[in-house]
Amino acid sequence: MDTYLNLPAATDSDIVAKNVNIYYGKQQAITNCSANFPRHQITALIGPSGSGKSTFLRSINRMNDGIARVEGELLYQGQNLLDSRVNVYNLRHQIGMLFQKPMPFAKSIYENLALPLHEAGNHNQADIAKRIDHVLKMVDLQHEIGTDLNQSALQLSGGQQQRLCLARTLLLEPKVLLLDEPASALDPISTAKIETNLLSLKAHCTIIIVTHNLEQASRISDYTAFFYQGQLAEFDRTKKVFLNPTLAMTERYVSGDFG
Amino acid sequence: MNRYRVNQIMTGVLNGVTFLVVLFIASFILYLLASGMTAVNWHFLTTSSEVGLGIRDQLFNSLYLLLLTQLISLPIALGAAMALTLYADSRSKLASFAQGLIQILSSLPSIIVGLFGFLILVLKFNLGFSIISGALALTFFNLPILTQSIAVSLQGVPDEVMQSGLALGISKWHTITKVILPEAMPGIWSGIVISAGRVFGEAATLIYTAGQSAPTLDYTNWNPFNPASPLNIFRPAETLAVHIWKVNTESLGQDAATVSRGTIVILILVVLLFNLVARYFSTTMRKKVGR
Ligand SMILES: Nc1ncnc2c1ncn2[C@@H]1O[C@H](COP(=O)(O)OP(=O)(O)O)[C@@H](O)[C@H]1O
Ligand SMILES: [Mg+2]
Repeated sequence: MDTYLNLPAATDSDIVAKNVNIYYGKQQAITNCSANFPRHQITALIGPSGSGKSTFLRSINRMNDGIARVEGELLYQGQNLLDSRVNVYNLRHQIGMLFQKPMPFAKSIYENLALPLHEAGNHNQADIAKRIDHVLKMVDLQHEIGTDLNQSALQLSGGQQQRLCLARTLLLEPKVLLLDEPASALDPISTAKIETNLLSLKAHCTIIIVTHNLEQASRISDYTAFFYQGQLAEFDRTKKVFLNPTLAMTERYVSGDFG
Repeated sequence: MNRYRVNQIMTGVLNGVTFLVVLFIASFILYLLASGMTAVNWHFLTTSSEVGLGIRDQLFNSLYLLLLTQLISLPIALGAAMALTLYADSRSKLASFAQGLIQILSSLPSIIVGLFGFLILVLKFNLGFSIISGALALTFFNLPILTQSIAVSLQGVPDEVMQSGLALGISKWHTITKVILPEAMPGIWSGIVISAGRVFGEAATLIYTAGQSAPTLDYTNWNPFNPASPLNIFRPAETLAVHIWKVNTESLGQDAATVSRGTIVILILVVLLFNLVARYFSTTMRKKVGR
Protein backbone atom coordinates (compact mmCIF):
# COMPACT_ATOMS: atom_id res chain seq x y z
CA MET A 1 0.00 0.00 0.00
CA ASP A 2 1.22 3.52 -0.82
CA THR A 3 1.87 5.75 2.13
CA TYR A 4 2.78 9.40 2.38
CA LEU A 5 4.08 10.75 5.67
CA ASN A 6 5.03 14.40 6.02
CA LEU A 7 6.03 14.20 9.67
CA PRO A 8 6.93 17.16 11.88
CA ALA A 9 10.39 17.02 13.44
CA ALA A 10 10.77 14.37 16.14
CA THR A 11 12.53 16.92 18.33
CA ASP A 12 9.34 19.03 18.42
CA SER A 13 7.18 16.02 19.23
CA ASP A 14 5.99 14.65 22.58
CA ILE A 15 5.02 11.25 21.19
CA VAL A 16 7.09 9.48 18.57
CA ALA A 17 6.07 6.10 17.15
CA LYS A 18 8.74 3.98 15.50
CA ASN A 19 7.75 0.89 13.55
CA VAL A 20 4.84 0.07 15.83
CA ASN A 21 3.10 -3.25 15.21
CA ILE A 22 0.10 -4.28 17.28
CA TYR A 23 -1.45 -7.73 17.47
CA TYR A 24 -4.62 -9.14 19.03
CA GLY A 25 -3.47 -12.74 19.41
CA LYS A 26 -2.45 -13.71 15.89
CA GLN A 27 -4.47 -10.98 14.22
CA GLN A 28 -2.44 -7.90 13.35
CA ALA A 29 -4.33 -4.63 13.92
CA ILE A 30 -1.54 -2.09 13.27
CA THR A 31 1.27 -2.62 10.77
CA ASN A 32 4.54 -0.72 10.87
CA CYS A 33 3.26 2.60 12.07
CA SER A 34 5.76 5.45 12.42
CA ALA A 35 4.64 8.96 13.27
CA ASN A 36 5.52 12.06 15.28
CA PHE A 37 2.90 13.91 17.30
CA PRO A 38 3.98 17.54 17.62
CA ARG A 39 4.09 19.23 21.01
CA HIS A 40 1.17 21.53 21.91
CA GLN A 41 -0.61 20.80 18.67
CA ILE A 42 -3.75 18.83 17.90
CA THR A 43 -3.37 15.77 15.70
CA ALA A 44 -6.53 14.11 14.42
CA LEU A 45 -6.62 10.38 13.67
CA ILE A 46 -9.14 9.66 10.95
CA GLY A 47 -10.03 6.61 8.87
CA PRO A 48 -12.75 4.01 8.39
CA SER A 49 -14.08 1.94 11.31
CA GLY A 50 -11.78 -0.95 12.12
CA SER A 51 -8.73 0.76 10.62
CA GLY A 52 -6.94 0.58 13.98
CA LYS A 53 -7.21 4.16 15.27
CA SER A 54 -8.40 3.19 18.75
CA THR A 55 -5.93 0.34 18.94
CA PHE A 56 -3.07 2.69 18.19
CA LEU A 57 -4.32 5.40 20.54
CA ARG A 58 -4.79 2.99 23.45
CA SER A 59 -1.20 1.84 23.14
CA ILE A 60 0.07 5.32 23.94
CA ASN A 61 -1.11 5.16 27.56
CA ARG A 62 -0.62 1.40 27.80
CA MET A 63 -4.34 0.66 27.96
CA ASN A 64 -3.60 -2.28 25.68
CA ASP A 65 -1.59 -4.01 28.40
CA GLY A 66 -2.96 -7.53 28.72
CA ILE A 67 -5.23 -7.05 25.69
CA ALA A 68 -2.91 -6.59 22.71
CA ARG A 69 0.78 -7.13 22.05
CA VAL A 70 2.57 -3.93 21.04
CA GLU A 71 5.95 -4.13 19.28
CA GLY A 72 8.30 -1.39 18.15
CA GLU A 73 8.98 1.83 19.99
CA LEU A 74 6.66 4.48 21.36
CA LEU A 75 8.70 7.36 22.69
CA TYR A 76 7.27 9.78 25.21
CA GLN A 77 9.63 12.71 25.61
CA GLY A 78 12.40 10.51 24.28
CA GLN A 79 11.76 7.50 26.53
CA ASN A 80 10.24 4.24 25.29
CA LEU A 81 6.95 4.01 27.13
CA LEU A 82 6.52 0.37 26.10
CA ASP A 83 9.44 -0.56 28.36
CA SER A 84 8.18 -2.95 31.04
CA ARG A 85 10.00 -0.92 33.70
CA VAL A 86 7.84 2.15 33.01
CA ASN A 87 5.45 2.90 35.90
CA VAL A 88 2.11 2.81 34.09
CA TYR A 89 0.32 4.72 36.85
CA ASN A 90 2.67 7.67 36.53
CA LEU A 91 2.55 7.37 32.76
CA ARG A 92 -1.24 7.61 32.80
CA HIS A 93 -1.06 10.70 34.99
CA GLN A 94 1.06 12.32 32.30
CA ILE A 95 -0.84 10.90 29.35
CA GLY A 96 -4.55 11.34 30.04
CA MET A 97 -7.40 9.76 28.11
CA LEU A 98 -11.02 10.55 27.38
CA PHE A 99 -13.44 8.02 25.91
CA GLN A 100 -16.40 8.09 23.59
CA LYS A 101 -19.12 7.61 26.20
CA PRO A 102 -19.20 10.13 29.04
CA MET A 103 -18.40 7.94 32.03
CA PRO A 104 -18.40 9.80 35.33
CA PHE A 105 -18.31 7.53 38.36
CA ALA A 106 -21.63 7.02 40.17
CA LYS A 107 -20.56 9.50 42.83
CA SER A 108 -20.82 13.19 43.54
CA ILE A 109 -19.05 15.70 41.32
CA TYR A 110 -16.60 16.38 44.12
CA GLU A 111 -15.81 12.69 44.66
CA ASN A 112 -15.33 12.20 40.93
CA LEU A 113 -12.69 14.89 40.92
CA ALA A 114 -11.09 14.14 44.28
CA LEU A 115 -10.67 10.40 43.76
CA PRO A 116 -7.90 10.51 41.12
CA LEU A 117 -6.01 13.03 43.28
CA HIS A 118 -6.38 10.86 46.38
CA GLU A 119 -5.18 7.88 44.40
CA ALA A 120 -2.22 9.87 43.18
CA GLY A 121 -1.31 10.49 46.83
CA ASN A 122 -2.65 14.03 47.20
CA HIS A 123 -4.58 14.38 50.47
CA ASN A 124 -4.21 18.11 50.96
CA GLN A 125 -7.82 19.33 51.15
CA ALA A 126 -7.01 22.94 50.35
CA ASP A 127 -4.86 22.01 47.39
CA ILE A 128 -7.51 19.59 46.10
CA ALA A 129 -10.21 22.27 46.34
CA LYS A 130 -7.99 24.71 44.46
CA ARG A 131 -7.25 22.21 41.69
CA ILE A 132 -10.91 21.26 41.34
CA ASP A 133 -11.88 24.90 41.07
CA HIS A 134 -9.20 25.41 38.43
CA VAL A 135 -10.18 22.50 36.17
CA LEU A 136 -13.89 23.25 36.40
CA LYS A 137 -13.06 26.71 35.09
CA MET A 138 -10.93 25.24 32.33
CA VAL A 139 -13.85 23.22 30.98
CA ASP A 140 -16.37 26.05 31.56
CA LEU A 141 -18.49 23.93 33.88
CA GLN A 142 -18.37 26.18 36.89
CA HIS A 143 -21.17 28.55 36.01
CA GLU A 144 -23.33 25.67 34.76
CA ILE A 145 -23.20 23.50 37.87
CA GLY A 146 -22.90 26.26 40.45
CA THR A 147 -21.28 25.67 43.80
CA ASP A 148 -23.01 22.43 44.77
CA LEU A 149 -20.29 19.89 44.08
CA ASN A 150 -22.11 17.32 46.22
CA GLN A 151 -24.78 16.68 43.60
CA SER A 152 -24.50 13.38 41.75
CA ALA A 153 -22.36 13.54 38.62
CA LEU A 154 -24.95 11.36 36.91
CA GLN A 155 -27.56 14.13 37.14
CA LEU A 156 -25.59 16.24 34.68
CA SER A 157 -26.46 16.25 30.99
CA GLY A 158 -24.40 14.09 28.65
CA GLY A 159 -22.33 17.03 27.46
CA GLN A 160 -21.70 18.24 31.01
CA GLN A 161 -20.75 14.71 32.05
CA GLN A 162 -18.19 14.54 29.26
CA ARG A 163 -16.72 17.90 30.26
CA LEU A 164 -16.61 16.69 33.86
CA CYS A 165 -14.65 13.65 32.64
CA LEU A 166 -12.33 15.99 30.76
CA ALA A 167 -11.86 18.02 33.94
CA ARG A 168 -11.17 14.81 35.87
CA THR A 169 -8.42 13.93 33.42
CA LEU A 170 -6.97 17.45 33.52
CA LEU A 171 -6.69 17.37 37.34
CA LEU A 172 -3.58 15.27 37.03
CA GLU A 173 -2.04 17.90 34.73
CA PRO A 174 -1.33 15.58 31.80
CA LYS A 175 1.21 16.65 29.20
CA VAL A 176 -0.52 14.59 26.54
CA LEU A 177 -4.24 14.11 26.05
CA LEU A 178 -5.66 11.16 24.12
CA LEU A 179 -9.29 11.37 23.02
CA ASP A 180 -11.24 8.56 21.37
CA GLU A 181 -14.25 10.10 19.58
CA PRO A 182 -14.99 12.24 22.65
CA ALA A 183 -17.92 14.06 21.08
CA SER A 184 -19.58 11.39 18.99
CA ALA A 185 -22.26 10.78 21.63
CA LEU A 186 -22.96 14.49 22.13
CA ASP A 187 -25.26 17.08 20.61
CA PRO A 188 -23.78 19.86 18.40
CA ILE A 189 -23.73 22.49 21.16
CA SER A 190 -21.94 20.22 23.62
CA THR A 191 -19.58 19.20 20.84
CA ALA A 192 -18.75 22.83 20.16
CA LYS A 193 -18.03 23.38 23.85
CA ILE A 194 -15.64 20.43 23.97
CA GLU A 195 -13.90 21.69 20.84
CA THR A 196 -13.47 25.11 22.43
CA ASN A 197 -12.02 23.44 25.53
CA LEU A 198 -9.54 21.49 23.42
CA LEU A 199 -8.39 24.54 21.50
CA SER A 200 -7.58 26.39 24.71
CA LEU A 201 -5.92 23.28 26.22
CA LYS A 202 -3.49 23.26 23.32
CA ALA A 203 -1.47 25.91 25.14
CA HIS A 204 -0.04 23.30 27.49
CA CYS A 205 -1.13 19.91 26.15
CA THR A 206 -0.26 17.74 23.19
CA ILE A 207 -3.56 16.44 21.91
CA ILE A 208 -4.27 13.34 19.83
CA ILE A 209 -7.93 12.88 18.91
CA VAL A 210 -9.67 10.07 17.05
CA THR A 211 -12.72 11.37 15.24
CA HIS A 212 -15.22 10.22 12.66
CA ASN A 213 -16.39 13.77 12.27
CA LEU A 214 -14.29 15.10 9.40
CA GLU A 215 -15.50 18.65 9.90
CA GLN A 216 -14.38 18.42 13.49
CA ALA A 217 -10.95 17.22 12.38
CA SER A 218 -10.59 20.08 9.94
CA ARG A 219 -11.94 22.62 12.45
CA ILE A 220 -9.65 21.89 15.36
CA SER A 221 -6.61 19.88 14.30
CA ASP A 222 -3.22 21.05 13.08
CA TYR A 223 -2.14 17.68 11.74
CA THR A 224 -4.16 14.78 10.43
CA ALA A 225 -3.23 11.11 10.31
CA PHE A 226 -5.25 8.93 7.96
CA PHE A 227 -5.38 5.26 8.96
CA TYR A 228 -6.43 2.61 6.51
CA GLN A 229 -6.56 -1.15 7.15
CA GLY A 230 -4.15 -1.02 10.06
CA GLN A 231 -1.62 1.23 8.38
CA LEU A 232 -0.87 4.88 8.73
CA ALA A 233 -1.52 5.84 5.11
CA GLU A 234 -1.09 9.59 5.12
CA PHE A 235 0.18 12.11 7.66
CA ASP A 236 0.31 15.81 6.88
CA ARG A 237 -0.87 19.21 7.92
CA THR A 238 -4.64 19.18 8.27
CA LYS A 239 -5.14 21.83 5.60
CA LYS A 240 -3.15 19.78 3.15
CA VAL A 241 -4.98 16.53 3.97
CA PHE A 242 -8.39 18.10 3.51
CA LEU A 243 -7.74 20.43 0.60
CA ASN A 244 -5.13 18.62 -1.40
CA PRO A 245 -4.31 15.13 -0.09
CA THR A 246 -1.42 13.25 -1.62
CA LEU A 247 -2.98 9.80 -1.90
CA ALA A 248 -6.07 9.06 -3.98
CA MET A 249 -7.37 6.90 -1.14
CA THR A 250 -7.19 9.81 1.31
CA GLU A 251 -8.93 11.99 -1.22
CA ARG A 252 -11.77 9.52 -1.48
CA TYR A 253 -12.11 9.26 2.29
CA VAL A 254 -12.11 12.98 3.07
CA SER A 255 -14.57 13.66 0.29
CA GLY A 256 -16.92 11.14 1.89
CA ASP A 257 -16.72 8.45 -0.78
CA PHE A 258 -16.39 5.69 1.80
CA GLY A 259 -16.94 5.42 5.48
CA MET B 1 -59.22 -9.48 12.14
CA ASN B 2 -57.03 -6.45 11.90
CA ARG B 3 -53.76 -6.01 13.78
CA TYR B 4 -55.24 -3.37 16.02
CA ARG B 5 -57.99 -5.74 17.20
CA VAL B 6 -55.51 -8.61 17.78
CA ASN B 7 -53.31 -6.31 19.79
CA GLN B 8 -56.28 -5.29 21.92
CA ILE B 9 -57.36 -8.86 22.58
CA MET B 10 -53.84 -10.04 23.46
CA THR B 11 -53.34 -7.13 25.82
CA GLY B 12 -56.60 -8.08 27.52
CA VAL B 13 -55.63 -11.76 27.75
CA LEU B 14 -52.20 -10.98 29.22
CA ASN B 15 -53.66 -8.56 31.74
CA GLY B 16 -56.21 -11.19 32.71
CA VAL B 17 -53.54 -13.87 33.21
CA THR B 18 -51.43 -11.51 35.29
CA PHE B 19 -54.43 -10.62 37.41
CA LEU B 20 -55.26 -14.29 38.02
CA VAL B 21 -51.69 -15.12 39.07
CA VAL B 22 -51.55 -12.17 41.45
CA LEU B 23 -54.98 -13.03 42.83
CA PHE B 24 -53.97 -16.66 43.39
CA ILE B 25 -50.69 -15.82 45.18
CA ALA B 26 -52.22 -13.05 47.26
CA SER B 27 -55.16 -15.14 48.42
CA PHE B 28 -52.84 -18.08 49.16
CA ILE B 29 -50.62 -15.95 51.37
CA LEU B 30 -53.59 -14.23 52.99
CA TYR B 31 -55.20 -17.61 53.72
CA LEU B 32 -52.00 -18.89 55.38
CA LEU B 33 -51.63 -15.72 57.40
CA ALA B 34 -55.28 -15.62 58.44
CA SER B 35 -55.47 -19.26 59.44
CA GLY B 36 -52.30 -19.03 61.55
CA MET B 37 -52.62 -15.58 63.02
CA THR B 38 -54.61 -16.81 66.03
CA ALA B 39 -51.70 -19.09 67.00
CA VAL B 40 -49.22 -16.22 67.06
CA ASN B 41 -48.81 -14.34 70.30
CA TRP B 42 -46.01 -13.22 72.55
CA HIS B 43 -46.05 -16.51 74.46
CA PHE B 44 -45.67 -18.48 71.18
CA LEU B 45 -42.62 -16.43 70.23
CA THR B 46 -40.92 -16.58 73.62
CA THR B 47 -41.26 -20.13 74.90
CA SER B 48 -39.27 -23.19 74.02
CA SER B 49 -40.86 -26.07 72.11
CA GLU B 50 -39.48 -28.47 74.72
CA VAL B 51 -41.36 -27.02 77.67
CA GLY B 52 -44.27 -25.33 75.93
CA LEU B 53 -45.49 -25.09 72.38
CA GLY B 54 -43.45 -22.03 71.39
CA ILE B 55 -40.88 -21.52 68.66
CA ARG B 56 -38.41 -19.24 70.45
CA ASP B 57 -35.41 -21.48 69.83
CA GLN B 58 -36.37 -22.33 66.25
CA LEU B 59 -36.63 -18.64 65.46
CA PHE B 60 -33.21 -17.97 66.98
CA ASN B 61 -31.72 -21.00 65.23
CA SER B 62 -33.05 -19.85 61.86
CA LEU B 63 -31.57 -16.39 62.27
CA TYR B 64 -28.28 -17.67 63.64
CA LEU B 65 -27.89 -20.21 60.83
CA LEU B 66 -28.72 -17.52 58.30
CA LEU B 67 -26.12 -15.20 59.76
CA LEU B 68 -23.39 -17.85 59.79
CA THR B 69 -24.28 -19.03 56.30
CA GLN B 70 -24.07 -15.52 54.88
CA LEU B 71 -20.83 -14.82 56.78
CA ILE B 72 -19.25 -17.89 55.15
CA SER B 73 -20.90 -17.48 51.73
CA LEU B 74 -20.45 -13.79 51.15
CA PRO B 75 -16.65 -13.51 50.94
CA ILE B 76 -16.49 -16.61 48.74
CA ALA B 77 -19.33 -15.50 46.47
CA LEU B 78 -17.95 -11.98 46.20
CA GLY B 79 -14.48 -13.28 45.35
CA ALA B 80 -15.82 -15.76 42.81
CA ALA B 81 -18.07 -13.17 41.17
CA MET B 82 -15.24 -10.65 40.95
CA ALA B 83 -12.89 -13.26 39.51
CA LEU B 84 -15.47 -14.27 36.90
CA THR B 85 -16.60 -10.82 35.82
CA LEU B 86 -13.65 -8.51 36.41
CA TYR B 87 -10.58 -10.71 36.15
CA ALA B 88 -11.29 -13.74 33.95
CA ASP B 89 -11.14 -13.29 30.21
CA SER B 90 -14.80 -13.97 29.41
CA ARG B 91 -13.81 -16.07 26.41
CA SER B 92 -11.49 -18.33 28.39
CA LYS B 93 -12.39 -22.00 28.75
CA LEU B 94 -11.89 -21.95 32.51
CA ALA B 95 -14.31 -19.04 32.97
CA SER B 96 -17.06 -20.64 30.90
CA PHE B 97 -16.47 -23.96 32.68
CA ALA B 98 -16.87 -22.20 36.04
CA GLN B 99 -20.02 -20.44 34.82
CA GLY B 100 -21.47 -23.79 33.73
CA LEU B 101 -20.60 -25.39 37.06
CA ILE B 102 -22.31 -22.59 38.98
CA GLN B 103 -25.40 -22.99 36.80
CA ILE B 104 -25.53 -26.73 37.51
CA LEU B 105 -24.98 -26.22 41.23
CA SER B 106 -27.76 -23.65 41.43
CA SER B 107 -30.26 -26.16 40.07
CA LEU B 108 -29.14 -29.04 42.29
CA PRO B 109 -32.15 -30.25 44.34
CA SER B 110 -31.68 -29.15 47.94
CA ILE B 111 -32.41 -32.60 49.38
CA ILE B 112 -29.30 -33.80 47.52
CA VAL B 113 -27.24 -30.98 49.01
CA GLY B 114 -28.62 -32.06 52.39
CA LEU B 115 -27.72 -35.72 51.94
CA PHE B 116 -24.30 -34.74 50.62
CA GLY B 117 -23.82 -32.60 53.73
CA PHE B 118 -24.94 -35.52 55.89
CA LEU B 119 -22.40 -37.90 54.35
CA ILE B 120 -19.49 -35.49 54.22
CA LEU B 121 -19.96 -33.07 57.13
CA VAL B 122 -22.01 -34.99 59.67
CA LEU B 123 -20.40 -38.41 59.18
CA LYS B 124 -17.04 -38.06 57.45
CA PHE B 125 -15.88 -34.92 59.23
CA ASN B 126 -17.68 -36.03 62.34
CA LEU B 127 -19.38 -32.68 62.90
CA GLY B 128 -22.61 -34.40 63.88
CA PHE B 129 -26.03 -32.80 63.57
CA SER B 130 -24.91 -29.30 64.31
CA ILE B 131 -25.21 -25.66 63.37
CA ILE B 132 -21.84 -25.77 61.66
CA SER B 133 -22.86 -28.76 59.51
CA GLY B 134 -26.08 -26.94 58.65
CA ALA B 135 -24.33 -23.66 57.87
CA LEU B 136 -21.80 -25.36 55.60
CA ALA B 137 -24.50 -27.29 53.77
CA LEU B 138 -26.54 -24.10 53.40
CA THR B 139 -23.42 -22.36 52.09
CA PHE B 140 -23.23 -24.99 49.39
CA PHE B 141 -26.90 -24.38 48.60
CA ASN B 142 -26.50 -20.60 48.75
CA LEU B 143 -23.18 -20.03 46.94
CA PRO B 144 -24.23 -20.50 43.32
CA ILE B 145 -27.23 -18.18 43.59
CA LEU B 146 -25.37 -15.53 45.54
CA THR B 147 -22.38 -15.68 43.19
CA GLN B 148 -24.64 -15.32 40.19
CA SER B 149 -26.57 -12.38 41.58
CA ILE B 150 -23.37 -10.57 42.58
CA ALA B 151 -21.89 -11.30 39.16
CA VAL B 152 -24.97 -9.83 37.48
CA SER B 153 -24.69 -6.68 39.63
CA LEU B 154 -21.02 -6.29 38.74
CA GLN B 155 -21.74 -6.81 35.05
CA GLY B 156 -24.32 -4.04 35.32
CA VAL B 157 -21.50 -1.54 35.79
CA PRO B 158 -20.36 -0.51 32.29
CA ASP B 159 -16.92 -1.76 31.18
CA GLU B 160 -16.01 1.83 30.45
CA VAL B 161 -16.01 2.59 34.18
CA MET B 162 -13.05 0.24 34.61
CA GLN B 163 -11.39 1.76 31.54
CA SER B 164 -11.86 5.28 32.93
CA GLY B 165 -10.43 4.31 36.30
CA LEU B 166 -7.37 2.70 34.74
CA ALA B 167 -6.85 5.64 32.38
CA LEU B 168 -6.76 7.95 35.40
CA GLY B 169 -3.81 6.00 36.74
CA ILE B 170 -5.91 4.23 39.38
CA SER B 171 -4.93 0.60 39.94
CA LYS B 172 -7.32 -2.13 38.88
CA TRP B 173 -7.89 -3.20 42.49
CA HIS B 174 -8.69 0.33 43.64
CA THR B 175 -10.92 0.92 40.63
CA ILE B 176 -12.85 -2.17 41.69
CA THR B 177 -13.01 -1.41 45.41
CA LYS B 178 -13.56 2.34 45.22
CA VAL B 179 -15.65 2.72 42.08
CA ILE B 180 -17.15 -0.50 40.75
CA LEU B 181 -18.18 -2.18 44.01
CA PRO B 182 -19.88 0.95 45.41
CA GLU B 183 -21.81 1.35 42.15
CA ALA B 184 -22.84 -2.33 42.21
CA MET B 185 -23.72 -2.24 45.92
CA PRO B 186 -27.52 -1.79 45.68
CA GLY B 187 -27.70 -4.83 43.42
CA ILE B 188 -25.37 -6.82 45.65
CA TRP B 189 -27.42 -5.97 48.75
CA SER B 190 -30.62 -6.93 47.08
CA GLY B 191 -29.03 -10.23 46.00
CA ILE B 192 -27.88 -10.91 49.56
CA VAL B 193 -31.32 -10.27 50.97
CA ILE B 194 -33.12 -12.35 48.36
CA SER B 195 -30.75 -15.25 48.98
CA ALA B 196 -31.33 -14.73 52.72
CA GLY B 197 -35.03 -15.32 52.12
CA ARG B 198 -34.29 -18.60 50.35
CA VAL B 199 -31.85 -19.73 53.02
CA PHE B 200 -34.27 -18.79 55.80
CA GLY B 201 -37.04 -20.93 54.36
CA GLU B 202 -34.85 -23.91 53.45
CA ALA B 203 -35.72 -27.22 55.11
CA ALA B 204 -34.48 -30.13 53.01
CA THR B 205 -30.83 -29.10 53.27
CA LEU B 206 -31.05 -28.91 57.04
CA ILE B 207 -33.01 -32.00 58.08
CA TYR B 208 -29.92 -34.23 57.89
CA THR B 209 -27.30 -31.63 58.75
CA ALA B 210 -28.47 -29.25 61.46
CA GLY B 211 -30.81 -31.90 62.78
CA GLN B 212 -34.39 -31.98 63.92
CA SER B 213 -34.07 -31.29 67.61
CA ALA B 214 -34.08 -28.01 69.45
CA PRO B 215 -32.63 -28.50 72.91
CA THR B 216 -33.75 -25.70 75.20
CA LEU B 217 -31.29 -22.85 75.07
CA ASP B 218 -30.09 -20.75 77.95
CA TYR B 219 -30.04 -17.20 76.62
CA THR B 220 -28.01 -16.00 79.57
CA ASN B 221 -25.13 -18.27 78.63
CA TRP B 222 -22.92 -16.58 76.05
CA ASN B 223 -20.01 -18.99 76.28
CA PRO B 224 -19.90 -20.42 72.74
CA PHE B 225 -18.38 -23.70 74.03
CA ASN B 226 -21.20 -24.47 76.45
CA PRO B 227 -23.74 -26.93 74.95
CA ALA B 228 -26.67 -24.88 76.28
CA SER B 229 -25.36 -21.63 74.82
CA PRO B 230 -27.28 -20.26 71.83
CA LEU B 231 -23.93 -19.40 70.24
CA ASN B 232 -22.55 -22.94 70.37
CA ILE B 233 -22.07 -24.05 66.76
CA PHE B 234 -21.71 -27.75 67.61
CA ARG B 235 -25.21 -28.19 68.99
CA PRO B 236 -28.11 -29.50 66.90
CA ALA B 237 -30.47 -26.76 65.78
CA GLU B 238 -33.93 -27.18 64.36
CA THR B 239 -35.07 -24.18 62.30
CA LEU B 240 -38.58 -22.84 61.63
CA ALA B 241 -38.87 -24.57 58.27
CA VAL B 242 -37.66 -27.89 59.67
CA HIS B 243 -40.01 -27.42 62.62
CA ILE B 244 -42.99 -27.17 60.28
CA TRP B 245 -41.90 -30.33 58.54
CA LYS B 246 -41.32 -32.20 61.80
CA VAL B 247 -44.51 -31.10 63.48
CA ASN B 248 -46.49 -32.28 60.48
CA THR B 249 -44.75 -35.66 60.18
CA GLU B 250 -44.61 -36.49 63.89
CA SER B 251 -48.08 -35.16 64.60
CA LEU B 252 -48.46 -33.94 68.14
CA GLY B 253 -52.20 -34.28 67.92
CA GLN B 254 -54.51 -31.32 68.35
CA ASP B 255 -51.77 -28.77 69.01
CA ALA B 256 -49.69 -29.80 66.01
CA ALA B 257 -51.85 -28.02 63.46
CA THR B 258 -51.87 -24.82 65.49
CA VAL B 259 -48.11 -24.80 66.03
CA SER B 260 -47.51 -25.56 62.37
CA ARG B 261 -49.81 -22.74 61.19
CA GLY B 262 -48.29 -20.26 63.60
CA THR B 263 -44.79 -21.16 62.48
CA ILE B 264 -45.82 -20.77 58.87
CA VAL B 265 -47.04 -17.25 59.63
CA ILE B 266 -43.70 -16.27 61.16
CA LEU B 267 -41.73 -17.84 58.32
CA ILE B 268 -43.80 -16.07 55.68
CA LEU B 269 -43.63 -12.72 57.46
CA VAL B 270 -39.85 -12.88 57.74
CA VAL B 271 -39.43 -13.89 54.08
CA LEU B 272 -41.83 -11.14 53.00
CA LEU B 273 -39.82 -8.68 55.06
CA PHE B 274 -36.63 -9.79 53.32
CA ASN B 275 -38.23 -9.27 49.94
CA LEU B 276 -39.46 -5.80 50.86
CA VAL B 277 -35.96 -4.87 52.01
CA ALA B 278 -34.53 -6.26 48.76
CA ARG B 279 -36.95 -4.11 46.78
CA TYR B 280 -35.92 -1.11 48.79
CA PHE B 281 -32.28 -1.73 47.92
CA SER B 282 -32.92 -2.33 44.25
CA THR B 283 -35.21 0.64 43.68
CA THR B 284 -34.58 3.40 46.21
CA MET B 285 -30.84 2.98 46.46
CA ARG B 286 -30.40 2.48 42.74
CA LYS B 287 -32.22 5.72 42.10
CA LYS B 288 -29.62 7.44 44.22
CA VAL B 289 -26.56 6.03 42.46
CA GLY B 290 -27.94 4.62 39.20
CA ARG B 291 -26.97 5.59 35.68
N1 LIG C 1 -10.18 -6.15 22.15
C1 LIG C 1 -10.01 -6.60 20.89
N2 LIG C 1 -9.76 -7.90 20.65
C2 LIG C 1 -9.59 -8.36 19.39
N3 LIG C 1 -9.62 -7.60 18.30
C3 LIG C 1 -9.87 -6.29 18.45
C4 LIG C 1 -10.08 -5.72 19.76
N4 LIG C 1 -10.31 -4.39 19.61
C5 LIG C 1 -10.23 -4.14 18.28
N5 LIG C 1 -9.99 -5.27 17.59
C6 LIG C 1 -9.82 -5.39 16.13
O1 LIG C 1 -8.77 -4.56 15.72
C7 LIG C 1 -9.09 -3.88 14.53
C8 LIG C 1 -8.97 -2.38 14.73
O2 LIG C 1 -9.98 -1.96 15.62
P1 LIG C 1 -10.05 -0.49 16.23
O3 LIG C 1 -8.71 -0.13 16.70
O4 LIG C 1 -11.14 -0.48 17.23
O5 LIG C 1 -10.45 0.37 14.96
P2 LIG C 1 -11.05 1.85 14.87
O6 LIG C 1 -10.89 2.52 16.20
O7 LIG C 1 -10.26 2.51 13.79
O8 LIG C 1 -12.47 1.72 14.46
C9 LIG C 1 -10.47 -4.32 14.15
O9 LIG C 1 -10.36 -5.33 13.16
C10 LIG C 1 -11.05 -4.87 15.41
O10 LIG C 1 -11.94 -5.91 15.14
MG1 LIG D 1 -12.44 3.25 17.53
